[in-house]
Amino acid sequence: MNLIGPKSIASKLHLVVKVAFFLATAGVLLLSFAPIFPYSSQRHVSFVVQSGPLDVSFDLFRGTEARWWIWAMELVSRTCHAVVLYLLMRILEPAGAGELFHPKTPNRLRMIGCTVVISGLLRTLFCVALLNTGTLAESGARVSWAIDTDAIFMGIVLVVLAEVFRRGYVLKTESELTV
Amino acid sequence: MGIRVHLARVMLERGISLTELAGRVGITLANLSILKSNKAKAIRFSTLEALCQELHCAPGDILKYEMRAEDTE
Repeated sequence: MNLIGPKSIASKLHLVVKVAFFLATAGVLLLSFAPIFPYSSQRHVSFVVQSGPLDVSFDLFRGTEARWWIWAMELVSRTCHAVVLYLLMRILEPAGAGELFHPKTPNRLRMIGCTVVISGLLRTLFCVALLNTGTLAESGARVSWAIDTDAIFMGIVLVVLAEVFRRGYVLKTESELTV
Repeated sequence: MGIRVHLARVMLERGISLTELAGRVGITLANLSILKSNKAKAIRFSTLEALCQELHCAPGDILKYEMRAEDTE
């Protein structure tokens, strides 16, 4: 099976990402209109608490100010996921049609990189805000936070990849216009 | 303007059509049209050689350098 072109891996992946994007958008809308606290919130909070005897779960924050921070963190995180999925869908669209070096692909890759970095930084900011709500401090747990370096590195890699695609498009255009 | 392609003028002088020249030179009509309309970014030596052979001319008859406005200032 071919990597790019009609009936290729790229076209099938485009379909998968399209479905994932619509599900993610529905999830974001649901979360923004009804601030429910899904099970995955516990994962984020567990990430915040890096050490200590405290078993952190959402129940700890129920009825406190912190739950709004968790909700905001979840909403921003899921919105960023939806944006990344949308951009990925738009990148895979021309690739599925056989055009890998599309003029808009570098810009879309750059935007994915920026979204990943912004999402990582915002998560750190939310973690700091969450720690300052006082709930954790009162429980006696030792807590700390760290900047999401993985997201920053991923963003840099994507920006570099965008430059590679930009050069690829320039070379492709030159090749097409060489008689 | 830089390098200008004067293929249309040479073709007119030789009385040869675009389709006929494309067939003789062995390149597609679309590519020859790109060259004729000055949209080409580059030209292969092999293409230039074939064009000169079919049109009985020198490369300088087809390609001309024209001074840019900013170069003259």
